[in-house]
Amino acid sequence: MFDLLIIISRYLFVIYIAVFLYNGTAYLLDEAGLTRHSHRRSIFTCRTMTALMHITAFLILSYDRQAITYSIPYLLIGAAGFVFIIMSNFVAEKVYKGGCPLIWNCVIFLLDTGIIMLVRLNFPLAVRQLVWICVGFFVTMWIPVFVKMVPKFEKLESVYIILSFMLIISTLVLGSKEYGSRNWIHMGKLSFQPSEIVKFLYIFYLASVFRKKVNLKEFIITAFLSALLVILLVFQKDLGSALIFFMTYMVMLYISTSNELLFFSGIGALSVGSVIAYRLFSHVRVRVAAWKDPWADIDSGGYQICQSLFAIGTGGIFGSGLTRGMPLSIPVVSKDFIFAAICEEFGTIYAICLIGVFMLLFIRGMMIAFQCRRRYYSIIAAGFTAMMAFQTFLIIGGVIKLIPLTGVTLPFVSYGGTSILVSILAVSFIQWVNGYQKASEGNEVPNT
Amino acid sequence: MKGSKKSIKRVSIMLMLMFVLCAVYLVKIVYFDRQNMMVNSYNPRINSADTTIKRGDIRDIDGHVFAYSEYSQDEGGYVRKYNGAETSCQVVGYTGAGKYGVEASQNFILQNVDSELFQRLRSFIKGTEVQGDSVYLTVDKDLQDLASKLMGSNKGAVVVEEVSTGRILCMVSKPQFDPQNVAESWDSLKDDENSPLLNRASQGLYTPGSVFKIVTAVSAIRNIPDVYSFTYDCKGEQNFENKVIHCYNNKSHGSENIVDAFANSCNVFFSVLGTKTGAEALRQTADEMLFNEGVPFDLSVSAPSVQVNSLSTESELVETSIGQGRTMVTPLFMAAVAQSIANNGIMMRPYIIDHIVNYDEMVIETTIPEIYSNILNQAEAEKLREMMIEVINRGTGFNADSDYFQVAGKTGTAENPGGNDHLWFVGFAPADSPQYAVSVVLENGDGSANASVIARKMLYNTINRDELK
Repeated sequence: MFDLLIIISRYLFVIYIAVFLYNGTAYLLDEAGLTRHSHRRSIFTCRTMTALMHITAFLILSYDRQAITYSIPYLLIGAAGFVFIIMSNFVAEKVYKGGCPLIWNCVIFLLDTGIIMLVRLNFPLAVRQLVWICVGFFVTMWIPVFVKMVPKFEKLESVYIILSFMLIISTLVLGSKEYGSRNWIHMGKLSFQPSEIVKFLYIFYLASVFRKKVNLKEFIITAFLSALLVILLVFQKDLGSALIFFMTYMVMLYISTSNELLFFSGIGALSVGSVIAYRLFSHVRVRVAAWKDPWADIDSGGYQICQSLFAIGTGGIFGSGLTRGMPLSIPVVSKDFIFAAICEEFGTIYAICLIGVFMLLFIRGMMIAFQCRRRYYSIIAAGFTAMMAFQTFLIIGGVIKLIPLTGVTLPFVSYGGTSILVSILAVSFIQWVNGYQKASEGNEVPNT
Repeated sequence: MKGSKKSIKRVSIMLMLMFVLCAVYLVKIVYFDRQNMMVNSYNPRINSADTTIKRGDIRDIDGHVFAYSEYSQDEGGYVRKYNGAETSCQVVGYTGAGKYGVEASQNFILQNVDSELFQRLRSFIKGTEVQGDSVYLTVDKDLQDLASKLMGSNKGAVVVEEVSTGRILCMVSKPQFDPQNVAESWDSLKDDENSPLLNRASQGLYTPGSVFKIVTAVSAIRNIPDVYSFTYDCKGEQNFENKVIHCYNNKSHGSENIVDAFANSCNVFFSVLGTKTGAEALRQTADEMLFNEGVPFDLSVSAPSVQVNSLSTESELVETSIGQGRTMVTPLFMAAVAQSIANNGIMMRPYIIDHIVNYDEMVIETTIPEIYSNILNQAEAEKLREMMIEVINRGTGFNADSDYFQVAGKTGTAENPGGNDHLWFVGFAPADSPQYAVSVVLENGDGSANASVIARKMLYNTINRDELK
């Protein structure tokens, strides 16, 4: 009987996410002015799907097969998650009056997928994740206040970049190693990745520089400082962050200058840099070798990626069904490799739809950047969106062996306090920009 | 449109393309790479066993059930039962301690519940069993039993392969074990110095001895222009650089050409051929005949290897020419080579899974024979066939001579430091329109059985398979 529920749930999850995606897309097309639908209904259907997914998943997860009964802690966490889904939507709309409900929907859907997977993989982690998410939303509520308090925060570029370098260099002195990268700082019981915080500072820095036309001198200084930052990250073996920083820089540069030549020479520089890094650093060579032919070195270098591919391949199009796969055999499954676990148990169709949800989120983010008429905010929105998009691409592409693996987290889904906080805050800034734009639409704001 | 807005649009398109690429690649993994990943021995899911469903049967080509599952009240789940599978134990495999054989390679098929929703609903309403798919093998239990009996107490392997398709009708490895008791006797089986758990047919690596002269002959045909008119006077032994090559029992074969020497399995002649073609050419022929690559199969295989090159010494070269030295082959691979000779040089991919049926006995997948590689041209295959007929009619293979049809083959006696010689026979029959290829190896043969005789009897009984019923 219970197996029957799991079998049916495999199709239910696909239906939920497909309906979510359909309504999300309808909303998006509306917002772009291409069709005329009821906004309210699309958004409501999306929320219903998230809630249904949550309920279905917890009906399965909280069932204890040995005891043939429902387990109370699981039910409690399920209920807490449900309350969160309702409350977060409510709070987010109250605080960000002009925020886009589609973005909140996507974020909550992704967060909930993460919670479900973490409950299945490692219950205590899921509880901590839920706490982090709540902290994230709490901090988020104060961003509009913070932005009001610091009205001239586009003028603080030197502060941002100096702080960035201080944080990055601090890991060289105080940092400790985790999964081969020296990019964590432990302070008592708390530990965090400074590079995650630098992401904010860096985007603010670039937006501050690019908000006006840059002259050659400014351009060279920015390029030099950015390159230095990226090189420092490569030295810390934090290849993922290095790539994210580089691509974010390229995108923000391109958006503010619209210069294709610069963009492509940047890509050229990346290629040259990659070759140099490949020659110079053994950890880069190991990653590339594991990507080219993981099967050749399945015992050591290729182990992670092979285990990930086994999970994806064995799961197949509808997946093994929640709790029926073996995702725990994948290394670092609650963080970097959570996408492989989702592929295994929810199936490839669900996973592709999940990529679709990310796409909705990023398209909407870019649309906000597009619509915003104040250049500084437009660049900030584009920067945060591009940064999250690259991070998502790096890790999804990595675990499916499309590109070499760089250990970064999947935004909103992977376990990790810093990752969750940064992702939620990044989205909050985008939402704030949207709110700002909506509020200023009546009274004309000069382009700066 | 302002420049920066245009740029935002372009960047958005680039970002979306990246994700579309991810989605496409995921589809590729699931559609094209899935099968290989599922059966990879490093995939921990291969050992997963869901005892709440009735695992599918493993049956022989005529439907004899080698393995099935039965509900046990004591265990509170399904348990695996084996029936008449002792002679096919390495092929069928086991589930008791890890998994092996077809039980491992077809694990996902056997556990796959076809129309799962329907079966679960039916089970919920009517209480019927939820059953996995069943696998029909290409092997015939009667041939398996016969080969085991013929081998007697010898260690070794027998493989019979259909020439036109690559279908494996018989694959026996000795010594054997009882698949039912693997879990209980795991420690003794695992440490048994005779390695009964190993499928010698597909994974056992043996020195080929004189059966390797097939490769040396092809290399000579390809590299020596006047190869058929070339003769050499065999005096029973011959000095090479740091190495004296003897013929069997030091018998001197006198003046002979390549056909005579192949029939007599003359070591001196083939050593001289080796020095004439040279190490590099011999290795190249071996490579072209897949002797350094092997052939893919439904079960785990070991890869054969021939290791000579331009840096090899003359003694290494002459040893390799007569199948000694560091040359290793598997019985399955030699069967595939014999099959290729019989099939105008075209190697079929050998297979042992015939078809798969679901809970309702409906066929859901059938293996279609496929060409794997063209290892010889037609003229070479024809010449080898003639030479292999002479082996039977006037040479070392006289024991394989049958009253009912012409056999073609090659014998081998592989010296090895660890005991008695390994005895080989590879060949096919009927020679004029080949149906089946055979490969027999008796490890450290003690004289109680003869590889050529086993091959002849296996060929006869495979061709007249109906008589066994």
